[in-house]
Amino acid sequence: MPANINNFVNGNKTKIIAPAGYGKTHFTSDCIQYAYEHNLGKQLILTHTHAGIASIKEKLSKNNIPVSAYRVETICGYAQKYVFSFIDHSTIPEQNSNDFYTFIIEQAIGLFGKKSIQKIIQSTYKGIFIDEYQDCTKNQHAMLMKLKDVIPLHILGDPMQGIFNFNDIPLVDFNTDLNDFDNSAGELDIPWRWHLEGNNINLGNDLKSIRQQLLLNNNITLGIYQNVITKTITGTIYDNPSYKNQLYAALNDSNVLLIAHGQIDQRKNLRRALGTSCGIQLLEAIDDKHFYSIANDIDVLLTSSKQFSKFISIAGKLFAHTDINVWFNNNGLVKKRTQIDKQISESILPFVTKLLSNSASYNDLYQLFYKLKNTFHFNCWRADLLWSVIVVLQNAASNNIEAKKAMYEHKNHIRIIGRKIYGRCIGTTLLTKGLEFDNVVILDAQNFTDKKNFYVAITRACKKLTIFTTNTTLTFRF
Amino acid sequence: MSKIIKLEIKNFHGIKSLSQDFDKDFVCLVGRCDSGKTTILDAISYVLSPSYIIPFYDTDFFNANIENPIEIEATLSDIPELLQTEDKFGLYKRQYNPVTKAINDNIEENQELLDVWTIKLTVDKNLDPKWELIKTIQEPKPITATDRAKLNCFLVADYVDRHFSWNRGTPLYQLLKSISPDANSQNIIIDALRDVKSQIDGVGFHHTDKATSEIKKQAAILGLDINNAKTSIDFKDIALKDDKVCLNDANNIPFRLRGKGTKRIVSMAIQLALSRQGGIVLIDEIEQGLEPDRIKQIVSALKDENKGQIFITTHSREAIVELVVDDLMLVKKSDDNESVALNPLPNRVELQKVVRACPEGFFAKKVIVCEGKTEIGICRSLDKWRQRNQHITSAASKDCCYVLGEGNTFVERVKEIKSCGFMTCVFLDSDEKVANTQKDTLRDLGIDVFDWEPGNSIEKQVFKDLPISAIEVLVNQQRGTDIPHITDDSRIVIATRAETEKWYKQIGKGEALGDVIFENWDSLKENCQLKIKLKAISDWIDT
Repeated sequence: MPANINNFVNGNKTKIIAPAGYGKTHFTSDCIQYAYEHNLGKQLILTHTHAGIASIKEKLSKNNIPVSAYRVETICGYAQKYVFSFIDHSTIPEQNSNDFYTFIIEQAIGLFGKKSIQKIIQSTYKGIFIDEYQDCTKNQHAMLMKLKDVIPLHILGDPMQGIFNFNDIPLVDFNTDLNDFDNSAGELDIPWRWHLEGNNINLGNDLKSIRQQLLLNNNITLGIYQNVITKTITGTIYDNPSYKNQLYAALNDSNVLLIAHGQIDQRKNLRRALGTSCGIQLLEAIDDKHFYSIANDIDVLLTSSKQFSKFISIAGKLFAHTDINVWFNNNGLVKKRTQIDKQISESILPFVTKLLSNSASYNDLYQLFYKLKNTFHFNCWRADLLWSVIVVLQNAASNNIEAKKAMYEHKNHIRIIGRKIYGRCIGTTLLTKGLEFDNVVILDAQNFTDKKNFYVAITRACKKLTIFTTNTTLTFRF
Repeated sequence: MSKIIKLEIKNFHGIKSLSQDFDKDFVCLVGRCDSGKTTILDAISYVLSPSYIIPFYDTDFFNANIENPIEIEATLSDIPELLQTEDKFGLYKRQYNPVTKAINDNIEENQELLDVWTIKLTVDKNLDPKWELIKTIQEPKPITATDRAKLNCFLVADYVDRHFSWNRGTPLYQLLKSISPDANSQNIIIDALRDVKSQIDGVGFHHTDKATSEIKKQAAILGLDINNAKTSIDFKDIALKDDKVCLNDANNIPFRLRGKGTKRIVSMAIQLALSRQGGIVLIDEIEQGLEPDRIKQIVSALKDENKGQIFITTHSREAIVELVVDDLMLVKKSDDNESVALNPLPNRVELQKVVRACPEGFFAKKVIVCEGKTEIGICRSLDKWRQRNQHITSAASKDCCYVLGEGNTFVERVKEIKSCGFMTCVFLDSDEKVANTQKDTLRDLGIDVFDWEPGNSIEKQVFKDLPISAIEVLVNQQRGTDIPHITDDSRIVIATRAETEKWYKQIGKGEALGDVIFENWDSLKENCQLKIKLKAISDWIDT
């Protein structure tokens, strides 16, 4: 059933199934345009990420819808706005503490239930569109439902993409939590993304067929989808050279995503196994704990009486040990013979000397790490982590703050501006959700236990999808 | 629509501090000159001003002390819907409890509480006014002049001339916007002006052609080609701006050139139209330039037609007689001159009667309630004598007035006046039955009592204490009264005749009696009651 804008926009509580790549942003823009042309009043669009805001805004402005007709915010940002306006600031946890977001949403649940607050929202907007609803936590859902009888709510989402987030906070269940929402608007059912010039329309149709099988809880027999390249393999890339060679071949593209399972350390090993020449970047979770622990290590280093050995230990988390051992030993710099090596070595001598005399500063560490990366060309398997450390050291030095604080600020900054991800990457389904790549390679597909993760993984591909698996029939437990 | 629920003023003009809650849509401020009435209206008009900037001077600060900033806070309810949005005032919403009069920033779910917003105007010694929304838990947020204009607050005062032009920030402009919200009225006015200008440009000034062509020739000789030059108006000094478009009368004379009364009425008409859209109208000294009947009519029209909130000040008895006590607030400065209080009058029928009967009393600080017209007349004469002789100053200059409290309700009137917070005394006979029995009650209420020896009416006391020569003068004033030889024995007889024949039961006659008393002031015995009591009244005026 094709989507019906009229039903969706005019109902007071409506929902529509909008899979990724099925023209969701386009449809949202059409809804806002409809509301504008029918004088329905200003509309609020809520989404989860700053990247989401950017793409919706871009679409709306491309369609020449006046900015006075809408506002786009993140769900958390919107809740924060009210909490900071109406809750005593001394009771609000630190922004970078773990319970900050939980606190914000819980307080917002209370606020949005009050008539005086509802009146502000009603005065400002005549309808709210919520994008990617499947990504709402149960708490966010409770908050938004406070408004369901106050202002028309229009929900877009795809239950197939509701995968657990980093902290394992329970998510809304699109199928059971929204029973009083009218679904007569139908659903978006054309995989427009794959219709775009240069993309693979047949792949799009295969992904749609797989989606239908997954919705029916059927097993997936990979062989029957002609536009999905299936590589049946045995062993692992660490012990099977043929597997590794096929993988190199599959990754031979300037825009490619390799989806792997496991924790960051496993992916770091995978990255190392692929070798320096592979030139593929490891995607990091924005809030991966290593970012904060390494910033903490740096702060500890500066007050320590063993600065040099602590430095070697931090360097060991960022660079290949073999590279470190070529230039450093327990007593400082290794003596070099060639003129060139001596020159390079001398360029960092002042900093090393300071570390040895326990008098280094953030700026010294910044210079040191910067040179190790750009002059010494040390191999680094976690480029994002290293890059963050260098930025943070520079900020700590120039703003006279601790590295840990600088790291929080740096991460908040990234959260707000979003990050551009392109080129060649290694990631997980969770990290790459919402991203698009020409070419996607999935490792060990047999390891997927739930169909939603699998669906998110395969739908990242626009042109080419390669699946490595030990078993061509995939079964899912969830 | 927008209503002022609470007003706080610090260090502005004659007010060091004031904090007042309002629960009315119509407020009439009554008080002596310099009590701060106009300052209160000015404060409201400044804090809600639609102007981008208001020029402030050192003299606007309390005692011209610029170290203490001017701070004016107005807490409003029912602001226009379009200001209640998130990006405007929405997130600065607070709640007001009409019972406890507390403003709370933690929003509660309670129907009794009013949604309110607080606007604060601060002027520090740099004299730059700053308008902000304030709230304890958030940083202040600046308010634009455009948003302040949406509150539709205007002051009708002496300088109303600009009220008749159509530019931004005038009541006419606000009216245009609220009546035709779709029209961008600024452009309507400016566009009309541009039409006018292009018509002038098109006319040409052909009578200058000859002279111009001469210049063209000379310019060509000097090597400059200005053949396309033509004559038109230089708009530099007659800039066509929207403030030049104004309301004119039938003869195309701008209203600003009309008489004061007409100007004020037209100005009030504009405000009234605005207040029907829900605005705050401020009218200083509503009676200015108006006849008494017109004052009454305007006051009652303002009250009946009001859809917003109206604040007026007045010194006119017509105005307060037309209103009900509930509308009145007495403005009073504290004794140390530092704080100003606004006292609402209690809404009681008895008080209402007193206001209607003796409105003058409500414009003073000290009130002498006279039992009869004779006493009023004597007070008048006393006042003249004070100015003529020892004191120089009139009772009015001492913020004192005397009112008539005659009739059976005399005692009630006195009590009501006292209950409004005025310093009160009574001036009465000692033969009056009802009042006589209640003198102690009055004294217990803190009311000073000036009366005569027991049993004496004013006539009896006067004819008892005046010298014979003065009595002869008084007797001769009464035509047809034939009392050939006046001795001490005839004092009581004359006094009785004066009473029964009502020689002094009119204000004018009482005043004439007083004149004779004060002409003979020096020959009055120091220990006579007449002198003692009149002296005491005069001293009371000076307290």
